Amino acid sequence: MELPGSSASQIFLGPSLLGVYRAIGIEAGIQFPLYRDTGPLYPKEHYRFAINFAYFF
Amino acid sequence: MELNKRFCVIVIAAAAFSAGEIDAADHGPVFGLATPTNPKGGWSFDLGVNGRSGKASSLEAELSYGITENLKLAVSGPIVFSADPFPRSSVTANTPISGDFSALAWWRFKRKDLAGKRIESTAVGGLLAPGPQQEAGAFRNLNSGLGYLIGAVTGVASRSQYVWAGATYQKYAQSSGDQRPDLVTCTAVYGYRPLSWRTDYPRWDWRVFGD
Repeated sequence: MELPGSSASQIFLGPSLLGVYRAIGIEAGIQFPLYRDTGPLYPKEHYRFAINFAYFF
Repeated sequence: MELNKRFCVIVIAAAAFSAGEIDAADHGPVFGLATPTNPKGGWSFDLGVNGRSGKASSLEAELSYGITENLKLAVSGPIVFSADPFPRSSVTANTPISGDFSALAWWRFKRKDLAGKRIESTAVGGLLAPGPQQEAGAFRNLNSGLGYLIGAVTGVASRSQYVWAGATYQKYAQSSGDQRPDLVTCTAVYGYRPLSWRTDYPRWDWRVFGD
């Protein structure tokens, strides 16, 4: 049985930056909602962010 | 504390200067799906932090290995600092939902090199295992079985511009009468690498994305 009101759809958009220094990659970005249909069960998400460190060997 | 800082600086500097021919230039964007795979025999390690509205954040570690230049295996694992009350979503599409362990295979099944650019398509599939952390919000106390992820991404990459579009689908098995909802994630990415940013070692090489 499906939990009523649990389905949700969201669209996010935002910039991110990737810097490469030889075998190292550093990334960071932030996104904001363009569209949000999340129903009453969830709090509103105003932004999301990500920071990443990558190393190739 | 000062000793720890020095140690981190030494480790990062040593990593930068001891690296071989493999470089991170083919790394994809942080949010959206992208086609690059690792070179044959090449390893990569990613460590990332992501959060949503300041209420949830997690640390994701991913280890990848290129079996061939077109087939990459990747395993990822999370440490969830704060359980997520928002609708289930994958902040970084490269690794599935925060809180899941994953073992994924990335297969670049199409690659066409043209003058100054290449067109690629990559399929991804693998297993998901929910982590030990309890969820928050609507899914508190919800049990979950193992899951799987399938998806694909296609795009064009040149020295100055990148365009990728992709989608993944995640589904979980029932556990103790509970079942997580399915998740469809669609991503579109445009990347730009201005001429003035196109520099080689020993300078940083930058690109900006809209995800």
